[in-house]
Amino acid sequence: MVIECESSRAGAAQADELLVHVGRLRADADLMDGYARRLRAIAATLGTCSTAPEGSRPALERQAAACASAATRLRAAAEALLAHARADRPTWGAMSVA
Amino acid sequence: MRADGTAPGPAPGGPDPADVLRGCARDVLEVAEGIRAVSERTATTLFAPELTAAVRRRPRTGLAGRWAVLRALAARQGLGGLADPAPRSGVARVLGLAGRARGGESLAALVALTSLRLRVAAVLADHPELSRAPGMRLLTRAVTADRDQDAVRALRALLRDRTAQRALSGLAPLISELLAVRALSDGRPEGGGAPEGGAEAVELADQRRRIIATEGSVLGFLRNIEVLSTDGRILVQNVRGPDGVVRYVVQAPGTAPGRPRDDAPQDLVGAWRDLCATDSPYTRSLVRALAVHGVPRGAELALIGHSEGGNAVLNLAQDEDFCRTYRVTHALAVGSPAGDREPADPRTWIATVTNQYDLVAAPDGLPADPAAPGDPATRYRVEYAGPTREFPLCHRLHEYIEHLRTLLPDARADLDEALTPYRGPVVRTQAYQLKDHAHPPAGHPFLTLATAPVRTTVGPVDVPVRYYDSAAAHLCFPVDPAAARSLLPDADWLTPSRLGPRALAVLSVHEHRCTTIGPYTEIALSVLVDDLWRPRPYDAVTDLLRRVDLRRTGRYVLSLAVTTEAARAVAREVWGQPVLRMRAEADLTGRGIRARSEDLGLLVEGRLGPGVRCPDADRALYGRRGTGTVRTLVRAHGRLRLHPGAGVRVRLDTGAAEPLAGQLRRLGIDAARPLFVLACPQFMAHRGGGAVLAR
Repeated sequence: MVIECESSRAGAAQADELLVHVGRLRADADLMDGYARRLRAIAATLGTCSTAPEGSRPALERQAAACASAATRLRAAAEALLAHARADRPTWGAMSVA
Repeated sequence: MRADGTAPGPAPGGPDPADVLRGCARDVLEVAEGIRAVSERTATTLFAPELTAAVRRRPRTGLAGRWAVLRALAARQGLGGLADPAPRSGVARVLGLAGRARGGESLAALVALTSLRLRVAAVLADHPELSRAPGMRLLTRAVTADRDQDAVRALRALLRDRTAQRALSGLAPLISELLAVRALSDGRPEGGGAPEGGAEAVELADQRRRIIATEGSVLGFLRNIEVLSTDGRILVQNVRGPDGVVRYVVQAPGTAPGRPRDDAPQDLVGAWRDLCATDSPYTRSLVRALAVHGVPRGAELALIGHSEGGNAVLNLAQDEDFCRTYRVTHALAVGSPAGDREPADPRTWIATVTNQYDLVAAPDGLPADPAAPGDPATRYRVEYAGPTREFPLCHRLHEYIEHLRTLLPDARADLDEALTPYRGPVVRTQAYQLKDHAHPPAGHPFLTLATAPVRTTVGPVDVPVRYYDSAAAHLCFPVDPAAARSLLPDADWLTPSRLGPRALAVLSVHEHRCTTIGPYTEIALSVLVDDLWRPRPYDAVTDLLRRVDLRRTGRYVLSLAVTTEAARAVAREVWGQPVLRMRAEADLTGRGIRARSEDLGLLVEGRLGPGVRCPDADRALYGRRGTGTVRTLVRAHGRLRLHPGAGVRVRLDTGAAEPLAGQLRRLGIDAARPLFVLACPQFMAHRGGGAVLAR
């Protein structure tokens, strides 16, 4: 009985840790969206600069797209981890992570 | 002046394009560092022990979660993998290396590459002269690869190449970006391990000793630093002040792009570390030199340095332990970024002298913030614009000395007044060779040689002259022996070697990027000649099998053009070669080679075809001094290749008869293709002193 309780407490602690990772993944996804916007803005600024190296604007656009794609994948990963955390501890029910 | 003939600066009604590019480069680099941090955190999640434990409990949802995190981290259209797999181990390292093996690069590295491209464009917009610098050419070639991934890989290889680092160290304004890109793409720490340093007392050559100042003054101290050049030596002088007290002046030189850094702890990483840390190999070596010199605890010191030496002395003035041991009264840094560094001892008087066009001292071309902290009573800043604007010329200490002497007499007087306690007779002068025990000397073991100074009109030159990073193309033409003979001195014992019915003329182009006499370009025309005493019919062929010092034949130099005064003086006075100083530039590092001299009206260009490896181009060169023949041995170490000459052509665009052009015409090679080309994009070499033969 004691062992079961301890095992349950350890599982709960690990699930809490997972929720921290989920929150971090979502925050990073927002950051990546921000980077995508920033890179597009820089590409637009370079459009007015006559001495900008050839190919730098398309490269920034590509990298902005990659940032946006990374944001999507990070959110998907956060959702998958959250689903796993719920399955691991079903008593949480409709819990959500800020 | 820019390449299009306009002066650098803002366009009417708009911001300066270079400023826009610099700002964009900074922003992009910040984004790259942010992406790297996201990649690191995602990797931490992927390998989190709690996720591993949860996967064991519920494999179905756990594996799906882990797979989703892995895709977020490693997908090419996304973060693209870990920016830095090197320090990790196990699965993370395997994943990172596998990503690279399948041609992927992390998004952070790609974004950092874009930042570097913008920064390069900004620097070239203000300083187009830098586009000719060997380091800039290497860098430009690396970052302009067709695919971004290829460019990151080329850049990584370039930054790992120790020889290339010598050329890159000339790109002072880009060093911070280069190191940031290296950290993002390679994950190597900037420090490169614990700093080590040492110093040992060395004697100065007579000619140098005579130039060393015997009275304390700011120009005297700076000239001493100039005399030391940049071969890893520093000077400590004991000066008896007007009050009779003996004080000590430490004089520390800095960088000279295109010169080697034998034994001295001043490399690309070291230079960067000196900017940031009070504890660097250079500062340690300086401390060691003071201990060897026997400077007593509590003695008063003035620290004076140029470039990296200036950084090092400012770092020492910040070092609390050092300032507890000695009383640092003055620190003067010339051509060094001063920043807002505060001395450990608030009484220390700190002065900086900066030409705002000097990219080492003011990397963004901006004057220092006038509102920078510091007590005006202990801070003295001299910031001025020009007149020397071209980099790296404006960074040379000689230019600063001339500016202080002629343009800034008030500043010089202020500095001299501040240094009054050190303005007296010098009672002892001792030079110290700084040592970096952690690394072998540059060019070791091939260029680890005993040297001796030889007097020339440009000062003493250590012989053998050593070439640490050079490229060469030798264009070999079969020519009429009678024509070749007519160009040689009028002596019957000097005859062109014959290869069948023809003689052999060689048009050599060298691009010397790093040598002990500074970087320069060289174009030489020579003819293969027989043994001066006992010519034999097949010497030219059998000599190919002999060591260079046993060869009987050699190449008589008919004409030589070099781009620097030091190279001209050495070629004429040490090697006895008929030399002229000309403008020339050469790019011999790729398959397409090009060399051009407007002064000579000569253009060599073309594309090297397939080649085969051949032995190093060791050679004996002949020149004339007075009535004697001077024989010089050149030993080379590189990857020489023999190419057919069909793709390369010489063009002469001048009607002048001299120099070189007339000789080329008489040999019939003024518009010819060579029979074959011996080319080497990177090699080391050394040229000994010339032996005078009685012929």
